[in-house]
Amino acid sequence: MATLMEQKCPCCGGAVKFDTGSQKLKCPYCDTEFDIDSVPQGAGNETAGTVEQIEWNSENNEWAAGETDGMKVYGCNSCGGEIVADETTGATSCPYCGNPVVMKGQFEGALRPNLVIPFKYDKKAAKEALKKHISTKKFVPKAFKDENHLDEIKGVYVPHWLFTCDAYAEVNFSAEKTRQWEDSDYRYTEVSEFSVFRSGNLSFDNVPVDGSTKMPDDLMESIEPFNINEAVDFNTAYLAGYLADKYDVGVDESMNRANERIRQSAIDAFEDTVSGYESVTSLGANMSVMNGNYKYALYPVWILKTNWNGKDYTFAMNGQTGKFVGDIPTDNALIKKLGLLIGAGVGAAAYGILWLLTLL
Amino acid sequence: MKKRIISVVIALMMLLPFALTASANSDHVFDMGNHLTETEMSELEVYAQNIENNYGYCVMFGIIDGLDRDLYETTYDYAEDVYNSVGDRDNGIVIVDNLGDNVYSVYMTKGAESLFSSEEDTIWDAYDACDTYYDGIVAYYNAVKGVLDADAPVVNAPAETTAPAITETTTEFVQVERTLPLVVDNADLLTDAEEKEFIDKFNVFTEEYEMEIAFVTVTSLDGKTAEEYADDFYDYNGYGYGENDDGFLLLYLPGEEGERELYVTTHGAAVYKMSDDMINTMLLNMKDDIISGNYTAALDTYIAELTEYVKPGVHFIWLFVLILVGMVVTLFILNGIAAANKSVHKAFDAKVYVRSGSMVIMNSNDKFIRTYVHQDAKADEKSDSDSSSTHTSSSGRSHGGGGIKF
Repeated sequence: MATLMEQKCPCCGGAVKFDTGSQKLKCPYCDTEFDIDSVPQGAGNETAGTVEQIEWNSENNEWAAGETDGMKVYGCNSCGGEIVADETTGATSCPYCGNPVVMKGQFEGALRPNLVIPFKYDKKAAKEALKKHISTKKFVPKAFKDENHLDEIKGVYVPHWLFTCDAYAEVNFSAEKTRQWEDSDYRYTEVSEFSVFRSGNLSFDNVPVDGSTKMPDDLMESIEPFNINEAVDFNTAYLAGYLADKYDVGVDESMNRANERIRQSAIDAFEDTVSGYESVTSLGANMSVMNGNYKYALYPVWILKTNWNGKDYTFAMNGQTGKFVGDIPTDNALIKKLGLLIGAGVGAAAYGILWLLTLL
Repeated sequence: MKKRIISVVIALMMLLPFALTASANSDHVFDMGNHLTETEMSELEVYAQNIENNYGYCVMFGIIDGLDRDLYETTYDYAEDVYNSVGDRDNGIVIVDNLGDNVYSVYMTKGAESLFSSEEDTIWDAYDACDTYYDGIVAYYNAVKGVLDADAPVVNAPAETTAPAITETTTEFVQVERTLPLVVDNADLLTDAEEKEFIDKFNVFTEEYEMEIAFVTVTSLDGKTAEEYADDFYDYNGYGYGENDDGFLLLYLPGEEGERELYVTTHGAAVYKMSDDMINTMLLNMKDDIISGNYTAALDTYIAELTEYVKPGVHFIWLFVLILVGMVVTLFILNGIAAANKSVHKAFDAKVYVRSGSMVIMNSNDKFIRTYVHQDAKADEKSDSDSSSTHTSSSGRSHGGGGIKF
């Protein structure tokens, strides 16, 4: 039985939302604000939503086996409308009445996140950041600037696994020293080869790995870092008014990605200690992780989607720091045109200058 | 001075109306029978001025077709009159060759008598032995210079400042003005007409591009290498245009197969007009004509190729090359700027998550494996065909150049 949860305003009974400006819950109807802490976990108007029978009445039009896998249907507490959501959706809003709802069961028990970083930037800030992002880039097709329209903007709490560990690494490098001198006939280059070994410990705190398959990993890694010091203990109240997903990538799977990054950092850090050589090449590293532990956290991300020329463009903004990323189309025709024109101009000017120099 | 020359010329023209169809005169050389070309006159004037500048002697030469007996009894009277009208030096000498009477006369000032009276015949013979008037007068000037050299060092010897080593052993010096024509055919490979033709062509080139161009043939290199001979010939005979003596000199030593040498020496701005490769190519292009004795064709090649390298401007092909390079570089830069449009990248490391101060190096070991030495011959650089290599000649001046033996 999926359960929906609404944070109700004690004054007017309306559904309240998390407000980024005041970092409190706020009722959109009567403007009453509440501290997150004043709302006990699990408080609110809980109703047992009904998992509706997915049974359509049209002829021979039943859901094929497995077709409803990955879907859950909830009944809205406010208007009674059906909310069809992904299996992983942990918070959303009712498509009919817009009431923010939290699927309580998604974050219960073992699924309860340890930490959450609340949104600091609101929707307006995200929209402005998008405008700025596009306007500061060069060679963006003019049509894209003029015609692209925002299809979707959503504040999402993205599940992340955070890995903390002490890494022990052994790294082998090949290094070279060179010395040059010359006599009247020859130029000599002496190359001395060294085998360099470094081993030691390096500790990492809260290396994040995206735990949601819905979010592209590179997009999430591009808006890093989040400031974990500002994270607070998880409270469903923070989710009100935003979308939230529970993780669907397990901790074991995520660990591999964390190890890759930790390993590279260990190699880089040890390579920095290899000095006095003209060239240093890493040959390979053995790494073991000790005292490892992991946490489950929800990170605030604004996702913006635009469409232009039949293609979707996805942007992401770090909801805590405001860092904005997203690939923008490049006007290659304009680059070609400019490159050929400027290049021809510069080439002709250089020829002219050379010509004049011969007159001197 | 000029006024005096003009008045003398007018006087001479009045005195010798019968002899003159046309005449040409300079400060030191006068030709009443049109036996010398204007170019030759100016070349000879350079010799005379050079001697006057360096030794302080006014050395003149005149050719007349006859005497007006009403005015002059002898050719000597005429020579004395001409010298005293024109020569403004106490020390000086003039020879007048009277073709009409088939006599010659030498007039010299008192200051010059001690030096030249015993050498009169030698000087005349030098002139007389030559086939052309021009060659004769050149020989005359060289003979006079020989006498002056034997007598005393130059009055103002510029060589002492540039090449002291030479003045100790020889009286040769780097000439300020050129003392020889632009074509010196000691090996007698060209006809007189051809020589004149190329002297004219070389003069046109020199005036047009402000660089002298010369051709010298020799029968022997006097124990020097072609490079040394060409450099010395260039320096000690005053070749070169302008303050820096810019110019090219082509030296040819004829001989049996494998003994022939063709060498170009360059000096001043000319050095950087031609790379070693260009010089080599030019000489190879001339080689076949020279072997077959077609010297005029070879010299035309010489002029044409030098013109190509010396004339201002850059070959048209470079316009396309530069435009192409400009386009590629600009496209590269613009694409670099546009790369910022892509801001989604996978993270490589976890650097920002390293706990500060947590790094502990437990084992650090740098082990020497081996050493080896690369050896690159520097000679490779010398063959860099794009550069113009230079060397220093015996006068201490810097020359470029190159040659072939075939």
